[in-house]
Amino acid sequence: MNGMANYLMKRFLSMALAMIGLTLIAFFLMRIMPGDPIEAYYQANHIPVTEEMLEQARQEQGLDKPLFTQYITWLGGVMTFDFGTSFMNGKSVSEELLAYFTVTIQLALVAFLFMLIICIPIGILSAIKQNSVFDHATRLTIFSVASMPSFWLGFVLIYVIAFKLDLLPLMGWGTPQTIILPALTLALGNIPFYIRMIRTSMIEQMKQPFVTFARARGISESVIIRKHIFKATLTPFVTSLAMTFGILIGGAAIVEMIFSIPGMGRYIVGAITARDYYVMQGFIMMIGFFFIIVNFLADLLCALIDPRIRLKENLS
Amino acid sequence: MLEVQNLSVHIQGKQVLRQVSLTVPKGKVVGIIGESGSGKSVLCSTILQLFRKDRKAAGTIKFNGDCLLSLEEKKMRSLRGKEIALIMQNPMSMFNPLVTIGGHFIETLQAHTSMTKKQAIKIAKEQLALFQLNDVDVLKKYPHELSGGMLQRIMIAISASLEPKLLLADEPTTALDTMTQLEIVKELKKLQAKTKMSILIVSHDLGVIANLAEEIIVMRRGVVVEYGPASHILLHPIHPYTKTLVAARDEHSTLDELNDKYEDTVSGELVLYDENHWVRMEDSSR
Ligand SMILES: Nc1ncnc2c1ncn2[C@@H]1O[C@H](COP(=O)(O)OP(=O)(O)O)[C@@H](O)[C@H]1O
Ligand SMILES: [Mg+2]
Repeated sequence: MNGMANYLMKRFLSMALAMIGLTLIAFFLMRIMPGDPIEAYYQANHIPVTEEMLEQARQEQGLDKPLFTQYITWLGGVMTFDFGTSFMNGKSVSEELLAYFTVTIQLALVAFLFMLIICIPIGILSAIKQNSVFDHATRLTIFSVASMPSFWLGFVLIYVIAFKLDLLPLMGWGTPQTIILPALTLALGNIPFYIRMIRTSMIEQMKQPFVTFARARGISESVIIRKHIFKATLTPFVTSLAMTFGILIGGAAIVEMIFSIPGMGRYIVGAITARDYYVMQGFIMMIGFFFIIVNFLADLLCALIDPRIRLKENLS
Repeated sequence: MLEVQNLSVHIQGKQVLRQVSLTVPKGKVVGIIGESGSGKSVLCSTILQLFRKDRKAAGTIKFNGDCLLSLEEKKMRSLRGKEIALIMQNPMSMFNPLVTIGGHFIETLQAHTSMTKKQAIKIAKEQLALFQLNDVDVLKKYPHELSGGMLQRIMIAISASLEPKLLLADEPTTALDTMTQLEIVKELKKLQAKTKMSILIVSHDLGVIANLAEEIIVMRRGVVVEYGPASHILLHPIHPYTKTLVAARDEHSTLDELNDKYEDTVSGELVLYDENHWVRMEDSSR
């Protein structure tokens, strides 16, 4: 298990590096974006401004100091989960972000679970029953789902399930029932890809010599599928899933609009139009942090599944 | 024990085996020699019925009274590994890289018996000790941590652990260096002497076959060319192809070089030349 400890150390270091990179991007990318937050604020509130008023506001917000000093001050706050206060409404960015983020994460997580529940059995089944009626039907369904944009699917789902059949609430947020339709809409877009992926890599693994050897030893088909074939498809699957989780959070913004869910989406669009630096920086930090952690966990999981990953990492 | 009669196999419409007949008597070692592509591996996997759906097989394969070609899959599975074991070439790719050696051992034992994990591990350890593999904790190792020779010995150990009556050894020494090849041959000899199991050993290395087999089958492009006691085949080969083969061994050239030397296609009927010694004779030479 020494290999694992070694691997963990290396991953941890690279994760720390990624975090530092993230803070740099979050901070400086905002500053090179065109537009001035103070001006945007006054414009949004229809207050006529003079140069003096702008100067004074900049001083209050610390925007007149050198960039690097601003970065260090901001970084100090980030360490204690303090992303500053919003220019727009003067509220604490971290508190507001957290409130919206929790909603978005819930949506993304449920969508993620839907994805797994739908993709894994269907993917495995269509690989085992290759070229069967089931396989062909799946392919056809997948194809039609993949060719539709996710907001359109959302409207179809709302229309059929909520409006026509009246099975689930039309929109809103708060009860478990309200999360089903939006999560499904969010998940559907990614489902075709993963069913194909599981099917393809399972079929590829079935041709491996070690599968033949397992059969030659009289191992039953179900054990071969679980222990040998599916396990071998897991590492690329987990790696992609980590990426997809980030995409789900991004995609959540659209779904939140369709279903009027009080998540990150609308909040951040507002912040962008207002050039609300601290909110945008906080947002990038939060998403980025989350993304890095999820990928770290995925790497860890892969290393647990595949001993060669631990070894390779230690050799290099 | 094993009786193959007029076995023809088609893969994707291409005929790979033509009317192959052979018997492996109880407790005997029969060797098959032939250049690569002559259908040796297909023969082994057809005996075990491994690719039933992808192949069309005609003829009969009888094992202890069962007709394997028509045996239902469930029964067939219970024979695989338990009654008929297979060891293959390229041990490096025969183990699942994500499963420990112990995992391979345990699943094999549990597939055929109702033993617990603990009992399986105990048997695995005993078995490894028989093959001098007990010095390090091999069971906890992953395939990539072991050498090809080690893996091949482990493969033999796993196959032997359920005391099969017939062992199919498909080029067990091919991917290994010469020293390790000798070890593996020695190991197989020891195992056979101890368990008295029947072995069908396949190789494109006449040295390996000569060392182990009492009877030799010479194959070329899916056809049996000559078939008889080892002494006859090695000392008095009749068919020109076998002659070239034996000569090549004396000159220490490899079988692949033989491909260039011998280009004629083999045809004609298999006729009884001497006691138990069959040779395919061209019509014109009769
Ligand atoms: N899965 C397959 N699909 C198509 N042809 C195959 C397949 N397996 C084997 N063959 C053909 O069968 C012939 C015999 O192959 P094989 O039994 O592997 O030879 P050997 O083991 O004697 O080297 C070869 O000509 C090969 O092309
Ligand atoms: Mg072969």
